Amino acid sequence: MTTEAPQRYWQDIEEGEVLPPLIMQTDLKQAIAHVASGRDFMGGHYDPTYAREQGQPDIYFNTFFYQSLVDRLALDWAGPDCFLARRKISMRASIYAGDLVKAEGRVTRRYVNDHGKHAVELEVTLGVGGRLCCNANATLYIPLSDLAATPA
Amino acid sequence: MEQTRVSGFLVTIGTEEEARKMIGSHSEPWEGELEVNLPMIRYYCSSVQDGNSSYWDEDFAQRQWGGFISPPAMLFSWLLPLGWHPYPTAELEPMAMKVPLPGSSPINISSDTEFLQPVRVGDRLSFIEQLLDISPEKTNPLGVGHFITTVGEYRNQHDELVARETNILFRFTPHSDQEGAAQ
Repeated sequence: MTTEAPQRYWQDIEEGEVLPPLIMQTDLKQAIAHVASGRDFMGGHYDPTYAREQGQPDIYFNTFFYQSLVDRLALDWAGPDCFLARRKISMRASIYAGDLVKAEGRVTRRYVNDHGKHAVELEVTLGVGGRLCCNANATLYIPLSDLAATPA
Repeated sequence: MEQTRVSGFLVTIGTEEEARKMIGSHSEPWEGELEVNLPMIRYYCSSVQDGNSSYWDEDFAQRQWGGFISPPAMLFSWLLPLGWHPYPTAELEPMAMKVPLPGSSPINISSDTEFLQPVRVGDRLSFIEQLLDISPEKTNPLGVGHFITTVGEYRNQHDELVARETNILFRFTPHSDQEGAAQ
């Protein structure tokens, strides 16, 4: 029913681990559905004439879309028990309807934070062909495996 | 100060000096008119092909979160107004649009979002923004303008902080408009 991989546990994750990439073929129908469902009707996201006045070749995907791709890459890998505690995105280039977008990431840190939460930090990029579209970082809280408490 | 309408949003036009005087100021609290709800979550998830069980599997969501939750990227969606009402309503004026600056064209640059707890189906979100910084005038491939840094605090109906988001938006005059073409 769902797209995510099996749940990951904090003990089993290693710094440097590379996440399975997420590849999405976008199209115009999806771009319109995304604007309508998120209700971000800023002109550059739905009006080609306005987008061109802004110096863009066509309408471009909005911030929510970049955020969603980063969130999906992280949570599809880590599993639905995880909580996205922080996510930073820095957009470098626009993504247009029809682009084939690739999200890639790796684990940069595994630690217990000041509140006792078991956390991992991820470094993520979004790209289209050779064009870097976004640098991102995400912090997830990840459950502990209860295997340690189980008698061998 | 002059206001102009850019794809539905009121944008205030002014000088960098006027904008600087607003640094540190807060917006009025703004309350989302729609409850966080599952049909809109599903519609959004289908547009980004997000199959996370937290949005699709009721038993899982109940066990893990006490009910369905919102995808993190929908945070600001819950504050955005419907495009039309049959009665007069207040108008959402995001801080980045309300700041008086020469450029009227917006493009978002970066966001840094901390989530303190899940946004849940049934929540009503409100938010308050503060203007943190205005950059000096900058030129980039799109045009000439200023980077506006704001921080927004999102609260639920119990007045609990659910998220805090620092955002940078570039308000600019496109290069094509600066090459003489009066509009």
